[in-house]
Amino acid sequence: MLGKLLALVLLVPLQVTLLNLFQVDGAGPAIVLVCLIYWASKENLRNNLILTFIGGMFLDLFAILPTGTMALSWISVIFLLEYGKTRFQNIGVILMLLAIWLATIFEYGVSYLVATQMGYFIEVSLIFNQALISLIYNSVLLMLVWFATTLLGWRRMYKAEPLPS
Amino acid sequence: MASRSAPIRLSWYFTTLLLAIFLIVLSANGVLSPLESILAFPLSLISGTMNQIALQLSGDIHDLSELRYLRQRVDELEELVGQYQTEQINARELQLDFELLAELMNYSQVNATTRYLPSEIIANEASGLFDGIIINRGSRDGVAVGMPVVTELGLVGRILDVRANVSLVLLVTDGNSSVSARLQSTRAQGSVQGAAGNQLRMTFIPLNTPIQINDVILTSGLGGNFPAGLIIGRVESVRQFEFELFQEAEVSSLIDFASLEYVLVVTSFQPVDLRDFEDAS
Repeated sequence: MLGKLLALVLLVPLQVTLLNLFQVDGAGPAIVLVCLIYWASKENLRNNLILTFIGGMFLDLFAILPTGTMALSWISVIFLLEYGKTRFQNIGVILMLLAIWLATIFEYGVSYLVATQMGYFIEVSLIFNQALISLIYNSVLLMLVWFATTLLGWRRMYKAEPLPS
Repeated sequence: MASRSAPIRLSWYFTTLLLAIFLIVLSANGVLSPLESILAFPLSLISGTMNQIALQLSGDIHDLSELRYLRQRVDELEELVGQYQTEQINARELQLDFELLAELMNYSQVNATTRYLPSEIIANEASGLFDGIIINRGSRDGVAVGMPVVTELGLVGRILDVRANVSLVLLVTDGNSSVSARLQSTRAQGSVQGAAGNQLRMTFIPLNTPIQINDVILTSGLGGNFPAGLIIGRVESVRQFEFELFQEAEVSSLIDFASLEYVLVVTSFQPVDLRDFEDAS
């Protein structure tokens, strides 16, 4: 848990600086969200909610919108993912992909609502455009994370197995 | 077991959800500002470092993509340089002719329409709270509030207060000074403000504007407070963050304000008070 919190401290600046290089029309890969979804398949609900809350809060510190907006949009998805975990015993990559799509749509929806409530003007077409690009980016990033960790898991498993005598 | 833990899960979910809404309300009202500043400090340090790497990387990528274009441009420019060298020789001849004629006609200024009033600095601003100087010219000499003060090296400041025989000049290096400016190379506009330690800072420069070290910064004339084209200084360093809307440049004036003895008041320039238009609208 502490390691993941420290990772968030690095991942948030990474998202707002280096990963911005990959931005298309203002939308880029959301490494923080991808990691939160991935961690959600490993941790318990309480830890996941805390991580999501803090991760979202950290990101909001670099955003124009008020602190808490990201957390508000992601918490429900993390909760639904937990529900999926109890129902299917395990969270597979398909479920994680569904979660990331839902979280991305929620993120843009909530951001739009909060922004309009605060008197900002955002074009709906821009929101749609950015959400679509983010969906693609986040899906690819999640697949990469899942693939890398699965490969690492296999390597560890084979290393741990004793050689036949 | 699952049914027993379900209410606990729901309570965790609703607690964090409510906490997030509560946070949004507090943050939107500015109550969280001190806490946000504290939290943002370590993150901004890390992002500052990462941003440097990002800028370096983006610069490298940009450089690579521009390599082919640059090769083509070099060929074109070499041809142009040849043409310009010929033109420069002709221009130099013309300049020599002009200097000779100007000397003959006792011209002291290049721009005959601009009237300068030479003034001596007699004191520094008394309270020490502002970067200001007192000059030995006042309303009797035709000095008025708002007139720009310059030297041959560029803008010094503007007249803030006028007495009969003396005037108070607010230097451009003072924190209260703000001058509409533009980069000579790209014509990008911004605002030059005084910063601590006799430094100047150009702000509100669009993020996509390329800025080179030693780029000359001139007054833009916008706002009607200063005439356009006065030298303010040169770019010393650039501060650029991907997540900010504008970039900033540290600017150093060519003038050594500490050893300034004489200045010129531009008496032919009358500042425009744009508030009249605002009131009318």
